Amino acid sequence: MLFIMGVGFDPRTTMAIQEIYSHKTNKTRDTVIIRYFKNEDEVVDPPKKSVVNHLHSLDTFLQSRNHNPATVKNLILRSEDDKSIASINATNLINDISFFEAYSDIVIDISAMPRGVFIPLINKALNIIDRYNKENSVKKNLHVVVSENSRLDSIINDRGTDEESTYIHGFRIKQVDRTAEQKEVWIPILGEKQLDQYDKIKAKLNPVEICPVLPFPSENLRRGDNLIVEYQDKLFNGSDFEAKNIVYVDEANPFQVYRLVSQTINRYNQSFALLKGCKIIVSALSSKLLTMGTFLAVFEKKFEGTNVGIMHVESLGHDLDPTYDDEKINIDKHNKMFEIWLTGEPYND
Amino acid sequence: MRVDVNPFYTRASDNIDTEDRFIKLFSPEILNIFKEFPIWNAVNVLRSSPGGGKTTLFKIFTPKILNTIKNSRSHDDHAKELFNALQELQVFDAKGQPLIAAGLTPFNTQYSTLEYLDLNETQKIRLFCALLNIRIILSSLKAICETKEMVYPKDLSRLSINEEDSLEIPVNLRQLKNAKELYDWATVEEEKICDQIDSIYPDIDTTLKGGDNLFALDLFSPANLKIDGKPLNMKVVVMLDDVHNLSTHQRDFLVKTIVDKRAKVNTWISERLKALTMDELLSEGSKTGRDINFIILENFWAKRHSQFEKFAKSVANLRVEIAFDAKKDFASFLSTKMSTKYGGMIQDAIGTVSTRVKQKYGNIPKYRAEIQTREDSNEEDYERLVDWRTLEILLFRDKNKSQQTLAFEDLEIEAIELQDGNDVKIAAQLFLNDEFKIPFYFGISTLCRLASSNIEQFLNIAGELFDIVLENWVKQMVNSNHQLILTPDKQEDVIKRIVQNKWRELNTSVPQFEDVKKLLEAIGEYCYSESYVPNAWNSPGINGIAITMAERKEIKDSYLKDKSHPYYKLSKCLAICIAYNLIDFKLNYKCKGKDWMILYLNRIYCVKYQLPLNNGKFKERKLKDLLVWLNNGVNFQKKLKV
Repeated sequence: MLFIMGVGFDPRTTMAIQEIYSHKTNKTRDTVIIRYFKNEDEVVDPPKKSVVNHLHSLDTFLQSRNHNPATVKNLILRSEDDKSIASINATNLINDISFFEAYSDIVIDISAMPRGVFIPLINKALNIIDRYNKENSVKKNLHVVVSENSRLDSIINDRGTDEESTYIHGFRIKQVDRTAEQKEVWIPILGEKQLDQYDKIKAKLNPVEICPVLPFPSENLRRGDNLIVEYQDKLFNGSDFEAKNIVYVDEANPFQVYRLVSQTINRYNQSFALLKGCKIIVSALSSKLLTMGTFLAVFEKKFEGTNVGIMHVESLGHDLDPTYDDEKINIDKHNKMFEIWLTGEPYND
Repeated sequence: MRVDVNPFYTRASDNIDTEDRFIKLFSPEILNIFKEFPIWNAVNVLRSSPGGGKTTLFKIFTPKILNTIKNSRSHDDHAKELFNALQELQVFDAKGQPLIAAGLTPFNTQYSTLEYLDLNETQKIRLFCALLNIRIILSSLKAICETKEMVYPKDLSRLSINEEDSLEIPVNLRQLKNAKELYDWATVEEEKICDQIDSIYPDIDTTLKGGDNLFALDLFSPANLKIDGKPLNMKVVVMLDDVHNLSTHQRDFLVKTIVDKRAKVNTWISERLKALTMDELLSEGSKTGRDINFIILENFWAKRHSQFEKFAKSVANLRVEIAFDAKKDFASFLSTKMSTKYGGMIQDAIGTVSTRVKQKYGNIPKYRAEIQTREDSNEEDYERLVDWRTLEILLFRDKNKSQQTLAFEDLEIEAIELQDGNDVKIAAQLFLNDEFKIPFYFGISTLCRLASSNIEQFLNIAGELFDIVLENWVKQMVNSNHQLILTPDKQEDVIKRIVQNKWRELNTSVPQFEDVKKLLEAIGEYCYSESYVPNAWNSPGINGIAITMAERKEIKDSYLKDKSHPYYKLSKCLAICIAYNLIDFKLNYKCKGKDWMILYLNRIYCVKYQLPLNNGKFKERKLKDLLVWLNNGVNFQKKLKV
């Protein structure tokens, strides 16, 4: 098994690996950790305390279980001229199938990975493994694991966002002369405290329709309503929004998100077929689980040739609210681990 | 279509679907820029901070907008005014036909993505040139079709462009018979390049040719274009928007190629100041040279504040007209009359200040007449209060001057003549704001000053004020006595809130803001300490500092080039401040026998330090003082004691 994980400030960083590696086996278990650096200069700076702690606990854990030490891959998030290069560099972390050659199962833990990193990373891995599986009878399995905790998410604050929104590498819509007349449809998956990102994405688009996706059912049954209240100014003051366009998805079921977002994309494609087609832009502003469902829908539709893309706004950094230390036990008990088996043996047909 | 409830939040450069709406929001005042800079120079480089109006200025020259202006001028006064202004610039001929076909090519992150792909340098530049050539070709062909009201792309077969003998044009394109064939070639290539850029695999499509020159600029020279076999008689303008979105390497390559090329088509470039190199940032901004203009929009307006005020007011009035569907003056909503809640406070302040004046100067015979004039004044309370505070400043000055020249001059009986210019009055108003919290930042003129020559900054502040006007409008429907206007204190509250929020946002939007903040705070606090002195000798106050041009040369030529130099951090901070429009600067200002570079705080941040918004007053500081401020922080003592 190859276990790929990000190491950052997130308290859930080592949760999945400890859980999965605790099951005994005599097979190889290799670990790749991705370390984030804002720019090249930061690589030589001493890491933050939370990162040092996670690296230390990971080392200790791997040693205690007699596993190989982790291989570290550095990921530079911004270029010298301060442009976001996270998604390009994340795509380039994996070159080709040789990266996965020795393993039957590849697990990507996205608990401590930002959207701009895990979407392109999974996209590349899924592309490569799908290609391999088509040509070989022994399949490789790709799993994504994530530890979700909406309480913890709510005390993680963005330390500013990029000046403008951009497409994630590999998910740019086709904006060429042939598609210039196509209308835009925007599907934002709404999440808490993302108004700035919402504004920046909308500023780049001129959608004829907005289809917000809201979580329902959800652990907090009022979550969808609260989001409508939070976004009311943005939604109801625009002429491109209609309440009947809202799509409700189960916040804990990425496959339902995948199905509903896919259906929405299909419906708009059919409706706009007479008008030279449409461009569909999806923006995941919500939890990682919902983002994964969205990713799956876009991945599949893009593969089918639909003009669809993922636009997002890069965060310049994150902070964990200091209250976490006092509330740690209370908050951590809400951690829930999810596993999504993306490709491999169950998809033989 | 995008419709904002508050039209002040609609940006003309945004995706406004209808040409009519764009025209309604466009104020012709900005076209005055081309009265100073010859518009038909081969290359126009427009620079500004975000929101300076670059894209809006480009858009007015695009075919659909020009055609709408042409068609609406007979029944729409605003369109007529625009038409006349554009005709003066030779955009329309005497018969009203457009003389230009301007194609807008915006740069988005797609181009900069190329720079970071796993490709070698040659491949990157060849793909960049290939994509840019194609985009210039397609936008120019579309512009020609739209201007001539032909069907795009079907009617391109009527256009021939294959007579240019430039060796830079690829051989395969020279063999094409008409523009339709060129279009067909370009659209296929465009898709291939876009697929390559978005590809997650590093293998390059070997069928992509690319190039390392901008041959597309040669294709559209006027002599090369024929429609139905006759000369097109039209200038093609290539407008490259948002060049700052390119990587540093791409931007340098593009600007150098275009400037060196002196192409036969008019090429316009727009970019944000942050894209400039440190050297360019600290150089003379706007200048016109042979065949090329470098225009910094904020610099242009800064030299012509009254024109900017006129421009800003007209932009605001066009938006008010859209909101109310009737012509109304935005300034009329911004009352300059103090609200009744300040009545008592002003009365008390008059009592405090007048008592202070009488106690200090009342027994000096030569001041009695001036004091009596204030006592007998019939002016409104606020004006009386300002008069009293102005008198206090002037008497303080005169008394100190007398003491320095002749110790017993106070005994003179002859009444003095006081020089109470407007500057002292403004200083007095600031002092009253500081001492009694009586509003200072209000009214349309203040708003225009706060914009620091940036129209978006103006619209952002005006938009928040107009939100309240709209709120009042709804309340007025319920209660007809409810007033639409905003009192001065309400205006000041809103302005202070905006400044606070904007300052907070800098934390994430400006690089190295920890250092930049220290420097700005030091400059702000220094200006405050020098403005709030009893004699207001710098009246109305200072809002800038100056370093010598020799020091500026050192920054540009040595400090910024040596990361280990002790002045590097300070120099970088100054460059960031300029790039992000946190300070405005003026070069070669002559004073006290020296040449100075003046660094003014952006007017919006003057509010944070209770400084005046007028231009002009500054104080010279040595670069080493600034370094101390940056490294050790500051602790200026308040000098004003009342």
